[in-house]
Amino acid sequence: MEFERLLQKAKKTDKEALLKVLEMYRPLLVKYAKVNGKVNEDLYQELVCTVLVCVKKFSM
Amino acid sequence: MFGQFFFIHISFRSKVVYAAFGPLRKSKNQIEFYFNHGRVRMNRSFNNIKDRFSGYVLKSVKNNRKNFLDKKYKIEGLEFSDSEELYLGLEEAGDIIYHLEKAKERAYKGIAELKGLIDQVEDYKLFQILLSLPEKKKRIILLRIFYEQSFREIAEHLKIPEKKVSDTYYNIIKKIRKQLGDHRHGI
Repeated sequence: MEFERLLQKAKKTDKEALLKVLEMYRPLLVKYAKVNGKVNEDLYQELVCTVLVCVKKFSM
Repeated sequence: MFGQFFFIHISFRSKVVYAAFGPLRKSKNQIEFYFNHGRVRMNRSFNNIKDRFSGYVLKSVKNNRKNFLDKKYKIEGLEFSDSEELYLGLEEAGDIIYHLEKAKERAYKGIAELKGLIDQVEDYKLFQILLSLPEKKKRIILLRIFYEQSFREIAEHLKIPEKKVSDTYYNIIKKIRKQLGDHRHGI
């Protein structure tokens, strides 16, 4: 599984893998970073942080 | 034997999941038996890591969004009501600036003028409270708020210790807050 390998790399804080994971979830983050139809930069940043924490905490 | 089962095609996220069920109301053990012996087959994507991870991310993103917005609105709410307090019934910001400048231009002369200043307060409840204060306290409040004098200046004007002025001032503010039913800042 390609994603599994990617996630394992990301778990070891491989920069490229982390970027790839973030790229993957960007549409989701943008969707949820919207406040009154506008993207809230602070919220977006917060959500990116969330994804990174998720990668760290996720147990395979 | 085989005829007893019926197959259901469920499309799950555009992938087809095959599931076969025996006659309805099977016991739990039997269902597990079917699972173990391949009676129920599912597409592997159903519980692969990507979907699990996506679900996890989605959930925590939603929660974090909620927390962030709660915090933001809480802060904004406080800021808004703070600035609202500043208005004290005057309608426009321009009005306030005009009155402040006017008040600053005039040097402090006597209590007669203070009464005129109190009349500018349009909030009825606040007006009542201010009027009901004893003369000395009224003077302190008005010198402090309308003339923007420091505690030292007020103390010189009224010929009482500086410490007493500040104590009295904060006591009055506390009392007014209580009477207006505002416990937000706990001062």
